[in-house]
Amino acid sequence: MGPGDFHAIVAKADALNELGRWDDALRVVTPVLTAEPEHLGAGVTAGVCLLNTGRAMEAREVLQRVALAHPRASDPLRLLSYAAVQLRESGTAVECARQAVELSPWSVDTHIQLSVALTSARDRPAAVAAARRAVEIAPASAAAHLALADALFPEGAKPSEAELAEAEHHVREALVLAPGNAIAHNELGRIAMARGQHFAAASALTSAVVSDPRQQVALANISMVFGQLVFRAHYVVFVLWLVSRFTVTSTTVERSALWVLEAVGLAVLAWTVLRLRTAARGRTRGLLRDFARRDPLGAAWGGSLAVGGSAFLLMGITPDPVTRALVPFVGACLVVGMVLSWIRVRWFAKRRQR
Amino acid sequence: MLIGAFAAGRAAYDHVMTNPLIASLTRAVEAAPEDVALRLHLAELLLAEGDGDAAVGHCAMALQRDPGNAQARALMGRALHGIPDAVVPSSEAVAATPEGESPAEPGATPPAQPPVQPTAPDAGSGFDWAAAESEVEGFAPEPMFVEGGKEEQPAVDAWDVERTTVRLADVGGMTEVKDRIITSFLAPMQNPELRKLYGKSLRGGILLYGPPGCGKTFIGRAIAGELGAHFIDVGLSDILDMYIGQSERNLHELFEVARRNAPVVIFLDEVDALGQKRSLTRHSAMRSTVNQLLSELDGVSANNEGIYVIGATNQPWDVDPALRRPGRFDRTLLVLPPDQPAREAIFRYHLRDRPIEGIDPAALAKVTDGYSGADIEHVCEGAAERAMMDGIRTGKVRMIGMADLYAVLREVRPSTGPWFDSARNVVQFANADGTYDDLRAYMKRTKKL
Repeated sequence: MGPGDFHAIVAKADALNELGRWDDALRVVTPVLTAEPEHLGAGVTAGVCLLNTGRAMEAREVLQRVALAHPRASDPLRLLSYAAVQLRESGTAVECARQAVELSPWSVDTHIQLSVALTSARDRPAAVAAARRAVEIAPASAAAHLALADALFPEGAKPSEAELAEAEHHVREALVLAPGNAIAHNELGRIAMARGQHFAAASALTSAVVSDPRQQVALANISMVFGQLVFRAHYVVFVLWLVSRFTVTSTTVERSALWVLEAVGLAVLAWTVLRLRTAARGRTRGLLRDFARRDPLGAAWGGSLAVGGSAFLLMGITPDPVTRALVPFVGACLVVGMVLSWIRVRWFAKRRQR
Repeated sequence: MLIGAFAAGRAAYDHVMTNPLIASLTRAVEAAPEDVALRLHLAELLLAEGDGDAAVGHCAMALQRDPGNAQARALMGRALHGIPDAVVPSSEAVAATPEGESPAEPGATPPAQPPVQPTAPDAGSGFDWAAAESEVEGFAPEPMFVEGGKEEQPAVDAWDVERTTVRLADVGGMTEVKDRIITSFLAPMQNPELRKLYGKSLRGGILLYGPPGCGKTFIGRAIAGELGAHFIDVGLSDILDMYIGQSERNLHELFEVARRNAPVVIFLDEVDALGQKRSLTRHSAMRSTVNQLLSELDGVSANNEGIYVIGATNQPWDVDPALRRPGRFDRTLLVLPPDQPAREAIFRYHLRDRPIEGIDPAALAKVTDGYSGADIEHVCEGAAERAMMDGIRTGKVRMIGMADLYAVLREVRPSTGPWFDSARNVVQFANADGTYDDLRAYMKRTKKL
């Protein structure tokens, strides 16, 4: 096996990487790395394989060796920065990305990586500036627009409306360039969620799921949207139930007032169902099933609310004694829902800590 | 329809003379031509009598009245395939059939021949063709006229063209899959007359999809065996090449070899990689590989008659939709984890050459629902290893027992789980056109959805 063969093998591994066959690519390129541990192409290809299979530590080891042997190459440094982000070493990530940018100032990938590294280091202004440069270099790159949107609205941040608007603009640009881009649809969903537009979020996230059904992030975000809708519905039922207590006393049941409250409840329910069905485009059942799988406590909360809501709607058409009995029953359902939501919040908090 | 009715009537008439039950049923069918169940019963009897042609005619008429009738389709498949009712092998018998042996019985209609076969010498002409052949053996005269230079042919084909002896009968269990292969693919291919009558071309392919390790490659081989065709097994690494354009050349060469060896089954493993959705490929090199595959499948520059392409994939959702158009992979077939009889057969197969004692394959098959063939192989390996290690520890050789297998089964989980997790989302959210309806039905049935 000589240098000519190495080139052929690395090219084949690259083709496998292109197909997402990370393990196969790694198997193909390993003999080259064994024969020549500092081979630039093989090291970079192996780094890509390892990073995509979640083996950041091993990737760092290989890439550091190659970066030391080839100090003028930007790819190993860029990938080292990526590995450092995965390993939550934001300082190293920024340092490596800056070096990569110095070596390849006209490469859009290096600027995108710098933006990602700065975002992980919580330096938002610098991250936005790096992503802006990426967009300037390659205005027709969907990845650059998405990087800018991500820098403007990183995970866990609370951006201003102006920042959200700019982020949305760039996500829409990315969608013009790559209409089936699931990540872009997911970003659009996140922006709508940040604005409290639950149905718009559900619509964008459904598009993300349809574009790439195996994308777990979008499905997780839809579950969050459903959780928020359950919370809203709980609030509405609680207010209606509270008011209804004044219409149902131990001596009288004011039917007309009860019917008005129930009409309001039915209108809210119909509006919610209609909007949700429009947003989910015929996939409501599948999405609800996925929600139940991901968030069983949220689904149980929704279930108790559905029982309580149905009982509330029955209050208007049942005889007086039954109506009086249903009032505490609805209250009990709401209490069960509250307890479930409390357990759910604790469970989420614990999971986040882990 | 008239031809079918005539053939059916004529053949049934012949049997009237011999079988009184067929005679009375024929009269009943004539009296109630709309009664599909009665007609199918008659077809069953005719098939059992070895009169496949008449059975086909009745099946065709039954299907005309009730196109979705599964019994009629299955019966049609058997009739076209020449399998009389009496010799349809049970799953156990199928699993036990030795390799390469077709499950024919005396009195059964001989199985249809592969579509392209050398014609037999004319016995009635009086000329001794065999003697003449032996006289000119080895003598290959040069052509009288030569136009242009001789086309350069490689001395040895770069692709292994093999003759496979595996038959569908060697596939344990999986009767549903085999029935579908017969009715949708093999029967039309193996019956040239009927094919001509219905104007069906000898091209197109079938896409096998399903979780990994469930026997897609084996089924591909079995299809080639049934067709009596050559078999070329093509993996991703056989095609992919570093140099721009070389992958396309490899593909072209593969089809050229196939054309020279027709009839041939090309088995494209991991077709999702070779024919990945062009929207997913970032580099133009991979896109042109897909384009080349499309053009080879269409036979743009050559005739693809006698070339059957079978694709296998674990990720059908990544396959370019263009590959699913008519003439390409226009039929898809879901290959699921083996059913109980198949699992039993697989256990028997993997334990057959090992020292075993008190093994109950049926009991093992019962507790391994959802396990792939590869998982079962792994279980058998593990059990053997366990018994061997025990022998090494105690210094006493012992047989592999049920306890070993159960112990390994407690540790080995079905490897098909992650595949079904991916499939669940696809079936739920990306099945608007109904491509994965059969998968959806299976997942619902097995409570995976």
